Amino acid sequence: MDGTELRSAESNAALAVEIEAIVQSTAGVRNVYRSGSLVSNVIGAGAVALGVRRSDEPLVAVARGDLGVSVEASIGIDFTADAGDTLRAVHEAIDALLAAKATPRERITLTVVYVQSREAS
Amino acid sequence: MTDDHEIPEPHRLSLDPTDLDGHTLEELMDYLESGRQPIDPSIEESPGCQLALDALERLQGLGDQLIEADAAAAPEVDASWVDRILDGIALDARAGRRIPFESPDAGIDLGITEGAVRGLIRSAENAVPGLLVGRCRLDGDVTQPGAPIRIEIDASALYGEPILHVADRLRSEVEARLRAHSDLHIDAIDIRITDIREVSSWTEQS
Repeated sequence: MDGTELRSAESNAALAVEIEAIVQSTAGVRNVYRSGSLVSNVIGAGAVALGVRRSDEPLVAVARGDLGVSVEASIGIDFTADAGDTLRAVHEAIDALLAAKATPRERITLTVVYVQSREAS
Repeated sequence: MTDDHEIPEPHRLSLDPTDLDGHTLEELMDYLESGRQPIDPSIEESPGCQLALDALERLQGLGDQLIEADAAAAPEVDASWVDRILDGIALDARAGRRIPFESPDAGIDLGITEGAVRGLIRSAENAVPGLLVGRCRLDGDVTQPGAPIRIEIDASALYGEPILHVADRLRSEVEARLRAHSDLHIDAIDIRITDIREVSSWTEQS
C-alpha cells in the first residue's frame, strides 16, 4: 500500500466512523453490526496496514469509486421501529451527511440483520 | 425455492450458514447461564448469535416452567421435542437470503435478512402460551419484490390446547410482525404442529 492508498484508507475510515455515529443515533436503530464483505475487503485491509486492531475497525464500510462514495451498513432495530421506515431514515441521514461534506454518493446498502423481539424491547 | 438455495455472492452476508459466527448452541447456552458475563464481543456483535440467544432465552424460560410442571404431573417431558427446537434455532439463525425493500432510487439498496425475518416469526411464539416454534421456512423467491411467499412453520404445542385455535393465534401474530417489518407478499402461512407436549398443569402455572 503506497502513501496515496494509505491516505485514502484513513479518509474512508474517518468517514465510516462519522457515518456509524449517524446510523447509531437514528431513531429505531439499536446496534450497528459489522458488515462482512466490504469491511473485511475494503476497510479491513487498510486498517490492518495502519496497525489498527480489528475490534477498532469501523462497523460501517465505506469505499470510494468513480461516481462517489459507497456505504454499507448492517443494523439491528427495535421491534417497535418499522424496518422499512428505519432503513429509509438511516439512508436519508447518511445522504444528508454526505451532502454536507459535498461528497457525491454512489450507493448506500443497508440491511436489517436483527430485530429485537417485542418482549425484549 | 427454499432458504437452502445458493445465495448470489452480492447478497451473501457475513454469517457462515453452517454455524453461529464460530459459536455453538452449547456455548450460547453456557453464556446465557452465566448471565451473559463476562461480555463476549464475538457473541454480542453477531446478529446470528443474538437471534439464537433470544430463542434460547424463551426456551429457557419455558423450560423452567415445564420442569416445575413435570415434577407435579405424572408424564415425563419428552426430550426429543427439545432437540428439534434446538436444531431449528441453530438453522433459523443463519442470515440466509437478503430480502429487499422497494426503492425508487437505484443507488439505495435496502433489505432485511431472512434470518432476521425468521427471528420475527420465531418470536411470535410468545403470543401463544406454551407454544414453541421448531423450524420456519420461507418458500418462494424472497429476493424478488412482490414474489408470492409461503411461510411454513413447525411448532410444538401443549396437550389440551385446541390446535386450530393455537395455529390461528400464531398465524395472526406472525402476519402482523411480518407486515410491520417487511414488504413480503405472503400468500399463506402453513403451521404444522409436530409435537404435543403432555404437561397438563403447565397452563395453570403460566
